Amino acid sequence: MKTNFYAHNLRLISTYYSKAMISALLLFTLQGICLGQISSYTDVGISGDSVVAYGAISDDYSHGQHINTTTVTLSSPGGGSVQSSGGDSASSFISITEDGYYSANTSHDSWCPYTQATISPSGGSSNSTQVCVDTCTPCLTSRNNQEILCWAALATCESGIFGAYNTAVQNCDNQNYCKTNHADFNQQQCDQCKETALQIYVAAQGACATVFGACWATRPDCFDGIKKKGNCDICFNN
Amino acid sequence: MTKSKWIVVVVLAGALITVGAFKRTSASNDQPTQGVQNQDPHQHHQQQVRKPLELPALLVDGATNPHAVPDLIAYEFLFNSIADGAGTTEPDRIRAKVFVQKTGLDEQKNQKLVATANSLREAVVPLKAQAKDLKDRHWPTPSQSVMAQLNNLQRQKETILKERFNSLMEQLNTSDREKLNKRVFEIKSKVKIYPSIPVEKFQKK
Repeated sequence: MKTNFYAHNLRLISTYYSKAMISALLLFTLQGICLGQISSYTDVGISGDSVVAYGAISDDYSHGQHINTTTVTLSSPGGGSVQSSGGDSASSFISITEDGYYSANTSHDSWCPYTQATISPSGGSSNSTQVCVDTCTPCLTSRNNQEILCWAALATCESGIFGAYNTAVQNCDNQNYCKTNHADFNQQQCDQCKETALQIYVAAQGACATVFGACWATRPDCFDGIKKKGNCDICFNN
Repeated sequence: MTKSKWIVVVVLAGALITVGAFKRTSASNDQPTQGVQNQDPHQHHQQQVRKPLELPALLVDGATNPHAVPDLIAYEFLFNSIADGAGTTEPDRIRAKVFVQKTGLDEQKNQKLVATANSLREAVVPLKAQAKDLKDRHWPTPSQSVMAQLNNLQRQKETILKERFNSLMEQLNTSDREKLNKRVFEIKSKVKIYPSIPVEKFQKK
């Protein structure tokens, strides 16, 4: 009776372990795709005084497990770096404080069920771009402002002297020697008056041009071979 | 040996094999598929350090062979990089502005491009959510039916992508089309395509 009881229990245990063994073997031979074909994209751009890096993933719905995290790391020439994470894409920004190559790397993490591993297709997904501290834009802004100031001064000067010239000509016309119906009318004297007004006007124009020229000459020179654009191109004065 | 002794031997052998098997797979079983979404990044890192994976060789490197990158993949990256619709954060809006300017199109055309990108995103979000849900529930051994559903979702996404891109191209003149195609080619040169990684790759280790 006792022997039968042990034999029965042993049979039960045997059945349990057999089932467990089969389950384990099934897990060992599990077929399937842990991570399907994925495409990774990394790009770098310039936004004013910052570099921006963008990393993204595209996975075919019918190919693979979805990506959990995308991380993009943006590194400056001096070794500094910033990192940002997102789902299918991420963007990182870094201020341009030094000239040189800024590079970006994108990595993607995907938890693979049944495998005890995170897949991180990365490395390779990087590119770099040469970036310079943008000394061109502020210079061109200053130069542009100075030009606006010079043109405004010239316009004010020109309108002022033209007004003065008109007043002078009118003054001449109001003189008796310019009135044809007056007894003191003198054509030569009248012309002389207007000629003088014109000469003063021309001289004043010269003064306006001189002031304008002096103003124009004080514009900052952006094409000095030192100032550069954010993409490291030489800065031109236009 | 008696019958009972044979049973004891078989049970002990089975126990040894089973314990070994469970030792290798226990961590996987502790991590249900549904937990994938809530993975802590630090936890990810630790797992990665614990079992680093040898990455497969690239299937396509756009830097050396941009023509091998399919158009649709480049379109998807183009649109995703410039979309600034609902839910976009301020940094992403700045990034979108920077990347749309890379097309070289004028302001008006860029606005059309961004509008297309935003409408595309809205159309693709539900497809993506369905695909994610299916994968979370059935990966890595999806049934034929699940694969058919995923294939269908993928085809829908591709159709939308093609339609939106072609519709956009129709609105552009020859010069602008060239600019956009140039940008698509540029994107291709920055794309890397990785092959599938089968589950068996891990089981052999």
